[in-house]
Amino acid sequence: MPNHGHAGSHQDQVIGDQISGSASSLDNLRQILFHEQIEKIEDVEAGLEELERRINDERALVKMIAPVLGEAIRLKIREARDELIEALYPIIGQVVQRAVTEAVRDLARTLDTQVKRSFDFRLAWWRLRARISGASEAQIRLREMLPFTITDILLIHRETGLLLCHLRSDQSVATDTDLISGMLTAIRDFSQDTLGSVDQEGVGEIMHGNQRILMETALYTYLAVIVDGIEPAGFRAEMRERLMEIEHNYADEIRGYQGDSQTLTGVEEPLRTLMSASAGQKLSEGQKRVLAGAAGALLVVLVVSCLAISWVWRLGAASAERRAAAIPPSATMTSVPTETRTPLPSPTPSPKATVTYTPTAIPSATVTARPAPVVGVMIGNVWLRSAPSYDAARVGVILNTGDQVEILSRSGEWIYVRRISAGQIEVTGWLPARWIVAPTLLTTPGAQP
Amino acid sequence: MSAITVNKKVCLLGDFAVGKTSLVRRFVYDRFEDKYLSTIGVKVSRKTVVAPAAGRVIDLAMILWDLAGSEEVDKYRESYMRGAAGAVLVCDLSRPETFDHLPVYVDEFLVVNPQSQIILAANKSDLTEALRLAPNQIESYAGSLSIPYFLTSAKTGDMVEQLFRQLGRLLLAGDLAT
Repeated sequence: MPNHGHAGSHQDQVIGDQISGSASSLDNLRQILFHEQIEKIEDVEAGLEELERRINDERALVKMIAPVLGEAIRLKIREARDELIEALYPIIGQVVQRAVTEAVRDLARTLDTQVKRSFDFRLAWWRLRARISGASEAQIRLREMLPFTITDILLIHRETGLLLCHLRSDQSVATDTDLISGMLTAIRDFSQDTLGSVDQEGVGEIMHGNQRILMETALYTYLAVIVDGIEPAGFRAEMRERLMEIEHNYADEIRGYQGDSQTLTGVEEPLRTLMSASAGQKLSEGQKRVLAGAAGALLVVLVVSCLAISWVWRLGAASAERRAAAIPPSATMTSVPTETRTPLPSPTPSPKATVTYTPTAIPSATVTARPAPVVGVMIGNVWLRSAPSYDAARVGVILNTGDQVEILSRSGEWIYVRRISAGQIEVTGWLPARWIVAPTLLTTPGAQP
Repeated sequence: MSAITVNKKVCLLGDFAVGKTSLVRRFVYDRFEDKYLSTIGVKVSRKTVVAPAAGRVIDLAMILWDLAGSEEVDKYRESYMRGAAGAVLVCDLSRPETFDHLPVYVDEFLVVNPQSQIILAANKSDLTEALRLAPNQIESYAGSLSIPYFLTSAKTGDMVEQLFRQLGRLLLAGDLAT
């Protein structure tokens, strides 16, 4: 049996050799017949593997799809514009609405501030400062919105309420900012839950006296800026831009934030530029001294010029009086009526009623002591003239008996009047005093009507 | 080895008067008044622990959100839980119903934060005479959730530090695992 067994195994080996020989020759045959197809299959396999790798690798996939996606969107916009607008409206509509609301709010704030400050002496002071520093008109306008100080800037993770970054100024008011950001987030969540999702923006501002917490929200984070005073127009846009910049540059770190702020190194840089929006406007001590000096010098110059002007004026009035004394008594246009509407001709020492309607000669001509207008009634139909003389040109208007006139001033026997008549245009002119009744206050010595 | 600071949001969950606020008041840096709990339903405080992790010393600041345990604020609780890395479940050993309610909080919390760490504090262990919950009940419940538990006393301070330190370790271990 062992022999048989031996012979059997020998036979097996021979058959095996034959089979393996025929197998290898079959392989050869296959290689000869199908080598092109085999190569092709290998290529396809390699291609598939590469494709698989790209699909599994998120970044590579994004890189691959991005250019096609852009083109696809463009095509879709061309072909189904309305459909796309419909789909995007929930996002775009909100953004647009937010921007418009903010623009209107900014405008209202600007107007409010302008109105509030228009009579403020500080405004003049700021203008002066800006002029001295060579600032532009726009900067002056920005400056008008001040005082405005940023005390703290907090960048907060929306979902967890964790503080990502805190920038403080010299006037910082916030301590325990990690707790503040938690509570702030809780309050925002609370208001969101209470008021619903009508406005996804959430709480935009918390006011406390003159201090406010301004908030701008992005997808994963929000910015809370504690300010003192009124922020300049455009500040919120600046806040949003900085926030977008951060979300763009730290997208991955913020999305998967695990509480380690070291992963956000450098995130404070965009916030620093925001902080300088208020800090940059501050002046150094040296600059302040120079400005104070300049303002002081300006004040001195102003006072001196006022004194000089009043002295020159008095000198002019005195010489006019001297001239009037030399000229024969006639009513000429040298007696200029003033806009002070005073019914009283000045009590000049001159015996002649001429050239007395100069402002300097009327001590009572102040805004506070303004008398009621003196009204007279016409007792004849008379031409109104452009000067106190029959030779002067007619204004082109006849005042009729019974017409009421406001008496503005008087020169000799002539009276300067304004027609008071509802529905008719206002006309002023000269007419002889005898045609007016009751101009008692305008009596001039030696010139009774 | 340089110390780095890591912040984590942690929620305190449990029924009214189980001692959450007492835990916070005595063992945690507390800045805000309790009135916030009754007004907006949450109060934020901080517990800092130092823990070694991956060869570094880490200052772990747990920002604790103490959530009011009352029905009025139930609807806000989900928002407040969002983004939490961990939770401290608190029940009162002298009031078994507070223990019975724990699964509600756990389910709610895990739906919002599936990847978070939970720890159980069975509080008021100092009231030995009034204890109505057996420690083995606590143990079996904690075992069913695979979470650590501590029999704490906010009054005496027993096991409170250990509780927070253990939670800190879990939170940092969770980070390393990811």
